[in-house]
Amino acid sequence: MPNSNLYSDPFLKQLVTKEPKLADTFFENVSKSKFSEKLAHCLESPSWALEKLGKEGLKHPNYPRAKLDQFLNSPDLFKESFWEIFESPNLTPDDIAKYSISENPNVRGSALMHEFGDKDRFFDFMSDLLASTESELPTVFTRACWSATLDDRLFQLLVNSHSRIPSTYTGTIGELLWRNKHLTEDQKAFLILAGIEKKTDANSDFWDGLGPTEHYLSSFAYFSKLGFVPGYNDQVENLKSLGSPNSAVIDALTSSGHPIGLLLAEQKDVSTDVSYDALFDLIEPHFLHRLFWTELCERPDFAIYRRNAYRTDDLFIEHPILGREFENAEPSDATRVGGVFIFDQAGEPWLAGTEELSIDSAINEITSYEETMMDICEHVRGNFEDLGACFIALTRYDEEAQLKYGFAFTEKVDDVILEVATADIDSDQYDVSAELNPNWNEILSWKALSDFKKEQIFELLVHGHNIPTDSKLKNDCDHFLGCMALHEATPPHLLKKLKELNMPIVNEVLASR
Amino acid sequence: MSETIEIVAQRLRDYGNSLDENEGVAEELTSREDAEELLIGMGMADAYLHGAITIYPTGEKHIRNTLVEVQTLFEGLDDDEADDE
Repeated sequence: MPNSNLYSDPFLKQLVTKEPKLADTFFENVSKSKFSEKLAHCLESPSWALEKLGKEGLKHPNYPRAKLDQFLNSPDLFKESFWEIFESPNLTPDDIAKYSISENPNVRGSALMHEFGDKDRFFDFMSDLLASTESELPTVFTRACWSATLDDRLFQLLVNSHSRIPSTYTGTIGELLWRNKHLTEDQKAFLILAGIEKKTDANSDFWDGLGPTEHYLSSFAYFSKLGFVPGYNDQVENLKSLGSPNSAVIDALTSSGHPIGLLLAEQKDVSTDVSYDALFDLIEPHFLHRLFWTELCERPDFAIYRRNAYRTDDLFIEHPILGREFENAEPSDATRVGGVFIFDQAGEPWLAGTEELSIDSAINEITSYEETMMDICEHVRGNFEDLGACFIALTRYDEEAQLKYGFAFTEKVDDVILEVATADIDSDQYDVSAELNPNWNEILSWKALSDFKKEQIFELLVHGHNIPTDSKLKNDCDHFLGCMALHEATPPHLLKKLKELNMPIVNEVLASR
Repeated sequence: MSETIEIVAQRLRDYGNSLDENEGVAEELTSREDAEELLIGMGMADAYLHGAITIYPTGEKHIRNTLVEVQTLFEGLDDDEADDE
């Protein structure tokens, strides 16, 4: 569920209603796992599971009031958790009144901006802060700008100081206001007419949803079965904390139309609602990559391709048509191409990656093409450390120096150079490669899916293709439509539908079949 | 009896390792005409201790000569400090 702090999971909702015991089993497994904090965002999570989360569970409506009282009544707990406490939907007008007279401006401001807070006093509070000679505005000022419901009087007050930069934020007050989801349409129109612009981030829309975000909590039931590790740079071992895959839970979720059920041939055929969120839970974990690429790699013209460059390490495929855009793209800016993702061995057990530093790259890293020890020490490294490695890197291919200074290299020489070079080298200096992990038992197979499931996946991808604005998800969908067109197991009626999409790359792939 | 080449190389490595903390010596070393030869001598000593090179008599001689020069530089620094006190 992208861009949402609290969401309802329709598949868990059905499970809770139809199979409460299975639902409890599921919540218990997640609660005991390393992913327990995910419970805090799902509206279906039960009180007993949230209670175990401590302050992370405070913003959930099912968090028990008695537990909230413990936070309110303990000065130490309150002090370390008040930001989370004010996100609790279970605070009462009495609670808010009590904190509206706090001496701590962050606490007082948080109480005043609350829906039960006194709007006139909140206006005075913000007005005083703006008029204050203090150079630093408290954190609550920033939070108020981007998260409070602003009446027109307060909105005008903030707009009048729109170019000021609060010390607790890197942008202006005007840019903060643009982040406020509670602005009315009139207020947004005013910002536009006043020439107050959003903070510039050209990629923010393009990557929508494919940054750090939430999967449906119910999807975790499938993750351990499919070997997907949610979260960046997480470890496969953490999946074990979810316990063994529970087939009864998975069957029940698939029966309610869970999109991941579409990928498992042995699961029964059930219609799935076509939505952005369903697509996200299939694409972001790279399930569709695995579904198509694993079998397409059996073709002689299709292979896994890993390419690194400045600040990126892209994983994609090589193919005369589907790989062309990536091949032609600037290496440091190609992650945006549909189907490409940043390689992370820890989170991709279905792939086997290797990284090697060639001896020539290591020598260049140490010497930076300088020709004397003086230049290397003074201009390249800026110190006199590792003089031995500098010396052998400098003379590695210099037979004249070996004769002049009376030495010969041993078989350890390259190891010493590589060890020193590795300590400071940028990741893009490595020669990288990846292939399908030969020890991975892939259970995702386009070939094995029923025509019904294939049709459903096609509909989901077309939904993504029709996203009106340019985005990473749309590009990914286009890539997988191309994979579908290439795959020999795509049934004729889908090939016909693919042709009707009239997408140039899909048509080119179809023509090449 | 002269010190073994291992001991000579280790002493040279220790001097090399302390160059970054002794800016005065580093500056004096790099301003000398034979600075490149001295850095090569220190580099050879360090590479030898790493097991990355074997050295012939010419190489051993270069390392020993380098130690003499570098040691003199460091002792000069000690003398300067003593004079200051």
